[in-house]
Amino acid sequence: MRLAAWIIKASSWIVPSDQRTDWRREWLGELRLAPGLKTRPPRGLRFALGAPFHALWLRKDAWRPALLIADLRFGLRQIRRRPGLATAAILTLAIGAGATTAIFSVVYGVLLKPLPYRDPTTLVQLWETNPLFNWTEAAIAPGNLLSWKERNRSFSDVAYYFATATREGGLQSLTLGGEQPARVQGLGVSSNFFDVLGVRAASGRMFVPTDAVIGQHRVLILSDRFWRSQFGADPAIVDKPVTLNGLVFKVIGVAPPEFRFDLAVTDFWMPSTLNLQEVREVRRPHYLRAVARLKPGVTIEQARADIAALAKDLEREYPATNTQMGASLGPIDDWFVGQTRRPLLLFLGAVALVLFIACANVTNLMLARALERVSEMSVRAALGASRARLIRQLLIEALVVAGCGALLGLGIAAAGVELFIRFAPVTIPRLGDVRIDPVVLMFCSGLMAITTVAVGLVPAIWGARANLRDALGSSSRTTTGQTAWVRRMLVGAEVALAVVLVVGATMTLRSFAALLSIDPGVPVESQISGRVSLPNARYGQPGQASAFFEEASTRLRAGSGVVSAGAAAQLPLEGASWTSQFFIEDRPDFHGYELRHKAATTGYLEALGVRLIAGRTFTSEDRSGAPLSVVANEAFVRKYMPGETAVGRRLTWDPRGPNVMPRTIVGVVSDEPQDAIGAPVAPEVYYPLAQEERREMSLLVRSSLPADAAIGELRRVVREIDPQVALFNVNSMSDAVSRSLAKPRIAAWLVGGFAGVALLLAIIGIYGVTAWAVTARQREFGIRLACGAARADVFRLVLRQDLRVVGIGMVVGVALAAGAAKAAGSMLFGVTAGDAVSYIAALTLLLIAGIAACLGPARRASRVDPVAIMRS
Amino acid sequence: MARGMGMAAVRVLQAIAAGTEYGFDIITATGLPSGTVYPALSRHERDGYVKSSWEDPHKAHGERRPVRRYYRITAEGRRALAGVLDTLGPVTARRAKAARARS
Repeated sequence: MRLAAWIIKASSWIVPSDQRTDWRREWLGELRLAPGLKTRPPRGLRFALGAPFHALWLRKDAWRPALLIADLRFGLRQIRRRPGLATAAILTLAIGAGATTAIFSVVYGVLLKPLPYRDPTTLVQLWETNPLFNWTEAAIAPGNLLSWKERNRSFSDVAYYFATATREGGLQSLTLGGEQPARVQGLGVSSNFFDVLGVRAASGRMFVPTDAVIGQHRVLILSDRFWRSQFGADPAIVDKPVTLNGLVFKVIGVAPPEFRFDLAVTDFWMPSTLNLQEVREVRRPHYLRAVARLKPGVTIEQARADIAALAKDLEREYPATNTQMGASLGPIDDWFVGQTRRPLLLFLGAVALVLFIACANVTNLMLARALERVSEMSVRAALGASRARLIRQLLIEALVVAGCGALLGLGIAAAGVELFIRFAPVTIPRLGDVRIDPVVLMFCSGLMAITTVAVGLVPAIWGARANLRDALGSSSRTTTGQTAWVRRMLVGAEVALAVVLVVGATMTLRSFAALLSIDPGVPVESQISGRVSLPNARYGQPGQASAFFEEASTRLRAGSGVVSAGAAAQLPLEGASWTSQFFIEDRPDFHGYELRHKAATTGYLEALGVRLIAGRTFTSEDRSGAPLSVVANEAFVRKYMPGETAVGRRLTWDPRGPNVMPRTIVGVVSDEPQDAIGAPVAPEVYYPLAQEERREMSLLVRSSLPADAAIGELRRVVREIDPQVALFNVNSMSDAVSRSLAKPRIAAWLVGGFAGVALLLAIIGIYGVTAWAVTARQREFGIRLACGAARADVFRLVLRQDLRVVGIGMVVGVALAAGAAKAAGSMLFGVTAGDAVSYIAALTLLLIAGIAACLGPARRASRVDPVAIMRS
Repeated sequence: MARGMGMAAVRVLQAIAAGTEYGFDIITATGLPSGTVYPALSRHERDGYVKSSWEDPHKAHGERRPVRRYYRITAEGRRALAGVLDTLGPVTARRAKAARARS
């Protein structure tokens, strides 16, 4: 009985207030009159359970959509009446919501959208580890992969593809036949690759085991992009022949449009003819990457433990090759986006701070507006509007502002995403998946709802608190104190968050500046390059490939303005390189480490512009048949022969064969940048191309010519020697340097931009609150002045009060910034998380901004005319 | 206006037309839960099919019980009910019979 009455009373609060008294009387009355209630209490309870439904029905009925439209119209009229204020609010929110939505769409596309494979959570990437060589996620030797495949208990299937030293797959560059030779890139994969990923062909078929049989292996699966761009989305493409490097391949299928596997653009996939059974004892070198599908019910941890144990077994069985060789695995999405996750989430956090600051500012604006309208609200209340009705009115006005802001923000976001994609570093995976899609739209409308409540609720509650007595009896006297603390708190929070962003931006910018100030070690401004891959069919004979590159280098060097020219297997900043285990001849105790090595023609080291430290560079004497020679870099000497004479020492690598010829170090040169600007340089040696041929090389030209002219010269020379050979990846080295800095640059731009906006918003916030407080307190200042206060005293009073808020905000901000900097530490270069310069710079900036923002209002306060005030 | 009048609403209106006057009595007469009956009553009142009024407080006071709100069908309500029963006649009759058989 008591419970039943309680339910009715509680429900009565839902009932519109004009009906509430009657409603309660009826329900409670009927409850008491219900027959048999005393003897059968559940009956009364059952009766009472209907009360909330009735109450909700009445509430719903009172919420008439016509009224909503009237409220909306009224909201729009309010905007028209104070266009300046509304525009400021809408623009502020639009910037906040737009930036947040843009970053969210990147985060969603890159990190959150499921990968386009069947059940991607049960796919794992496998890799090898070896502390001896500092390998943390190395490619896999075929013999080891086969052992894992045969002995594991965790995978239902394992597929592999060819690797490079980086996370990118080992794409092969081939020349597409036709009237205009074009460079295309394909990935060699095992025939079960698409089965393991669970991807079906959009047309045609995917690979089957017989495709891997030599003789039947010249088949291709095209990427959707390649099929559209190169074949005009030909619906009859399946079974058509395609000429690659002079060989005829047959197209068997086209991958679905959303399918992506690699970080780099892949035009097609071809079956690998590698028969793991035939290479089962090949446990070096390491050149495969593998993807496995977990068996149902097997967790990633179990699978990891499984192959780690397997690797231990292999270490015992094959001590010669597998010493300390470990195995590990991780979720496939981590493999693709793992390195991008932290920066992106930090950007999202940074932009959320901007949104928060924007909301705080708009809340302040709306609060000021609500207080201006106290008398309006009081009249409404006096005429019978309930408090809920007033809150609703003010919330709807907030919704109108937030809605306009979100709509405008969506436009900003769309433009922002375009910009981001254009300027983003190519190494951000899955950028193609970034777009404004329904999920992003949902996010934006969610933001709108949150900002509505955030900016509308506090002003609505304060505004609706008004009552007639206050409004009619008040002048400016009574309205300051009420909301001053709310507004001060908001400004303090704004300052704190602005400190976080400005400290973050200063650190990012300093880190970027540190990267920019690094001397790349080579004269990049005068260098251009282009890559050539010679077809096997015409350059398969020994000497043909090296003859081509030596000839090209010689002809290029003969050009006017050219300082030097040459070719190498990899150029600076390309990252990838071949490595081998190596031995030093006069050091039998030396354990072989992995050593980077690359082929180079004569003239390459001169074109590269590295300093010759000892010995000589390559000459035409370093030809096939002559004693093998290498040129080492400085890092090599520093690490393996510190303080010793390197020239004349002899190395061997690839120690499998019985007649491995030792290679003599003939020279030492200074380091070239390898993976990225600012990244540590690994020991590396160059060997003459003539002594170990490669068909794919990059030509490098150092000249005093403008880049365009030098590139033209490069194209002309290659065409002259062999018109059927395509030159690709043509660019200037300064572009390559700039690309290498793309990630820190975009970080500096983004965080710097956010911090700039935050600072601006914080200044506006401080100014707004101070200006408003000064206006509201004019009378007080007048009295102070009349009582003998100096104008300077009033000036200082205002300044002191506002700087106190700024000061508290700064203290809180420093604490928050220290936490944030720790989280971002790994993204920084040459700057530590405790970098005092960044903190001091940020605090100084905020302090100046704070003083600048309240200087005007403070001066206004000190110029109050006491006489005028007293009379008013 | 019979548009959208559900079966429960029809039964509530029928009960009032039959002379049942108070909320709890209508619940007993129709066998519907209170969460259905009361919204139907409010709806009929909004649509002008029923009129409610409070009984004389002196009378209730004399009987030492709270005042009750009683509901009367209007002429418009009768027309609406007749219209609904016309279109849904056979079904309603069967349902009403079934309801009677249950109670």
